[in-house]
Amino acid sequence: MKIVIVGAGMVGYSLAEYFSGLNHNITVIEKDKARCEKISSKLDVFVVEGIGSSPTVLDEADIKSADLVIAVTPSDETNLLVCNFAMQNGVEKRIARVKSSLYTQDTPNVSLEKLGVTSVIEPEREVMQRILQYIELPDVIETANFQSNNIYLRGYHITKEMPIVNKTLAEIHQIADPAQILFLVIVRSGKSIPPTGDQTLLPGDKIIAIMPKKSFKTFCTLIGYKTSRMKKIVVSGDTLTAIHLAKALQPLCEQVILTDPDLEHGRIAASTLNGVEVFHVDSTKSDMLEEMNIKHADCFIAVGQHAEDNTMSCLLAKVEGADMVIALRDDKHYDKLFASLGMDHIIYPQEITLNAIIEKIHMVSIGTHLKLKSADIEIMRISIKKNSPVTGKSLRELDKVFKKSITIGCIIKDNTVIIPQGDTIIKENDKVLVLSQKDNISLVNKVFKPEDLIRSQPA
Amino acid sequence: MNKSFIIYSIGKLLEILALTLFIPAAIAFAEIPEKVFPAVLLNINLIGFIIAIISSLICGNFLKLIGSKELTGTGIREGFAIVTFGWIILTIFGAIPLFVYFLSQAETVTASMTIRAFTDSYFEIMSGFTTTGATIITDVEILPRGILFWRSMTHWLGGMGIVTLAIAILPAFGIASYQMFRGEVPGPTSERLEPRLAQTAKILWWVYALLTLVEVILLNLGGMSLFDAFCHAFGTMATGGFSTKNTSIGAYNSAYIDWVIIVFMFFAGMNFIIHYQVLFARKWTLLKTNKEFHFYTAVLLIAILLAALVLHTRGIAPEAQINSSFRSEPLSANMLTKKIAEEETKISTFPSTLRYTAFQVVSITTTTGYTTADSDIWPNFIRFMLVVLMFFGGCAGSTGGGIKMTRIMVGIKTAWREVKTIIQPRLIAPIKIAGKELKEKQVANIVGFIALFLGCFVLFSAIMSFLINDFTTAVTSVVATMCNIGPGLSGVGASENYAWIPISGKWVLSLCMLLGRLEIYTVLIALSPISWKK
Repeated sequence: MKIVIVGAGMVGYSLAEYFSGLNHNITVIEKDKARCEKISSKLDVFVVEGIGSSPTVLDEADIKSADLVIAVTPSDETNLLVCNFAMQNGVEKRIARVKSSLYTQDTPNVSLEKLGVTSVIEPEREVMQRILQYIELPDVIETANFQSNNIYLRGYHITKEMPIVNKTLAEIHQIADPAQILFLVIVRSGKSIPPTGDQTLLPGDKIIAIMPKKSFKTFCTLIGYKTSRMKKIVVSGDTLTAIHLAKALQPLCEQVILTDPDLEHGRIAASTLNGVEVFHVDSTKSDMLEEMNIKHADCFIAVGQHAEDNTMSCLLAKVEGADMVIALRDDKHYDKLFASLGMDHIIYPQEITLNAIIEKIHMVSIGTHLKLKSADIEIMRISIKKNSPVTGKSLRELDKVFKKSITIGCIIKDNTVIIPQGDTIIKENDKVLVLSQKDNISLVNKVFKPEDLIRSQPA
Repeated sequence: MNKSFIIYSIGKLLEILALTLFIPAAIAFAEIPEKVFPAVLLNINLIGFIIAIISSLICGNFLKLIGSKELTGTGIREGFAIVTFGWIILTIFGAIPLFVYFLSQAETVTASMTIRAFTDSYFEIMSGFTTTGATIITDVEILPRGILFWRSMTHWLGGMGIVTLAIAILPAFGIASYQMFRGEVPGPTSERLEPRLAQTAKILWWVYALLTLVEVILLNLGGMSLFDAFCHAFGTMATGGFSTKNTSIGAYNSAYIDWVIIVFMFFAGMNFIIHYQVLFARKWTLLKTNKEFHFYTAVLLIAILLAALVLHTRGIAPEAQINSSFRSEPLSANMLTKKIAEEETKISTFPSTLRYTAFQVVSITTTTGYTTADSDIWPNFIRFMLVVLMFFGGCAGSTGGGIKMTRIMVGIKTAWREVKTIIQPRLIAPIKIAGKELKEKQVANIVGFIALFLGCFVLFSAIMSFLINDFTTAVTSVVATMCNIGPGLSGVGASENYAWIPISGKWVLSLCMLLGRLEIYTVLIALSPISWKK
């Protein structure tokens, strides 16, 4: 498949890296010379230097032959224009990143689709959804839903209070039907352990499980999760995301407070938000956090413009007594350090955007794709074709091929979800969720030969 | 300040006044039994109107002649000056028929009597135009129909505003018209319904006329004569209060008429934009989202229930309280027992109590001033509550007076915000009405208005206490005129009138009425030296 990526920032670069790794034909358009040189020296991609919204530059990138265009320049308008030109050039799929929510609110007469965008990626919305998931399920470390919310993937920290602590998986499966809930992996002190029956769950472990929607309740009782509503949430930041987040949090929480280091922006926030108290506060100062009565806060979320301020204010809030702190950051440099200092969650908008784009592409052509952050595991959705090597085989037979590094999470047959057992046989037209160690994607390709996953020539 | 433009505009307003005077003149003409020409023109009931029409036409044309149509600049100063001086001058010409009538009734015409008659007629017509409804006439039932109709009609004209009427029918005021509209329409918001102001003014007048007509029909169906129905509908929709009966609406003693008038007083106290949107644009959601309307309704319902419960459980006031209350003429013991018995029958059952309290509460809050019971002999708690409600007034954009519901809401919110920001100095808390932010400038304007209103109230109360011997009467006469209500307490209570007030007091109260109707700022802007600086 030929993919044109416009804009080689952090997201564009990662996309190029990812797709060229899957042996696709990649062309990158970037206006910055230094970036062009960096990318052509590191990746096996064709680089065109120029402005992506110019039709001649697009011609140079041979856009007519492309199957997919991804526009991820910093400018929303450029991204939209690229999609429009791509449409005029007959490109089938056109993805644009649109940061501003001004453009994504459709009215009956106008829509981005008419402009030529087949999928819109809204980083802000993705970030907010991730944060909201954390708020709804406070102990969760991993959440993802597949198959239009019919399959749940959840990861949890095992704490002393959970009913399943110090039990073996075999014991747990006596309470919960293994056909209902599949434990994918146990992560103990940073290492993943395969979930065999004799493994005991210790406090501090992380457990990741996949289940159909109907079993989620059973799962909740297993881990003793209560849908406790938060009472007080403090959102900090001088961004639109902060305003939108505060608004979205209102129905989930009794008291939402927004702190804004910028007085003018705070005024705008106060005038648009109803029922949210807005304070002109620099939340990197601990006396000001005290004034907000931060020790009674159930959650502190920093989504300001400056990553350092976000992290520092979160760490301060944690020290002052906030129960859970979430910070927005754009680099992963000190990931482990922050975790050891008590940071509960760090949100990387670019990573989320990247995942969202990959997910969007796979949904349209290849299948759902997800990287777990607590373990080096990737999840893919693969449709089984007639001539696939696995068709007609039982899982027990396949286990030898998989070498314990590939797991079939579940099988989707005509919209029903099955947790596979040893004697389950994979048939044509099934869709399977495949979990694989990160370095084993080539094995997945070898075993399943999903022609739509790799349509390009073999490397 | 462009004086010649102001003069020209006032000339135009006088012409409109002359036109409107033809209607009561026609009624006066119809009342004359023998129409022998030309003697009929000298008929004592008609001649006042003829003099008024001719003099205002002549003066109007003269002012137009010496003035100039041309206006340069923003028209801010001119607009407010036109409204203020227009109102003062129109009242003089509008008072001519009454003045002539008073003179004709006098046995001998003396200088002091003339001054008194002029004061009385000016007070009465000012009370009419400002929709106050405070009267100096002890027996209204003997007045000729032409005069009665003109009194009620001044309410109707003043309610929606005679300048607004002028803008609607004469689009010639140009740039000053927006300022004039702002100066006259009550309340802090003078929204436009249409891009063109003349269009907005027209719509408001149509809605106003339509509601009035519906009320006339309903009152007529309830057994009120067509003439009385018109007079009372004018009084209701303008939240005025002039009646054709000495005992106001109480004279009809009909539950149907009471409830019709309660409902229409309620309508008149609402923002007319809501009426337009609901009647013509079918935007019912406006009733759900308009916070001022909710506040207005809630205030009324709570006050009615509270008053009804207190009145039902406590009965009317103890005799000692009634006796200690000041009256212009003391009641004989016989009259008093009769009156008490009468009022006690009105509150014998709870539904009946509810009917009478609902009427007085809605009448006072919307600043209408009609009465069906003598609320002045109700318990002191209710009397005090009614005085507090006088300050509330109707909604912004209604015909009611007072401080207005929006301003009260903003005042309360601002006070609460100050409390909050003292505890939490870094809180950013804009004042919002229905989720929409008010600019700090608007908030300052509103808080300033409330302060100014209360300041004027204190100042004029002091002056009136000097002129009148009774304290309650002095204070409530100022409230009742500044909020454009009519009846106050004690000496100006529900069963009393303003006839006995000294001449100086009447002029002070006339000024109060004008200040209240034009919401102080307009008058202050027109009179301030800054406006007149070259």
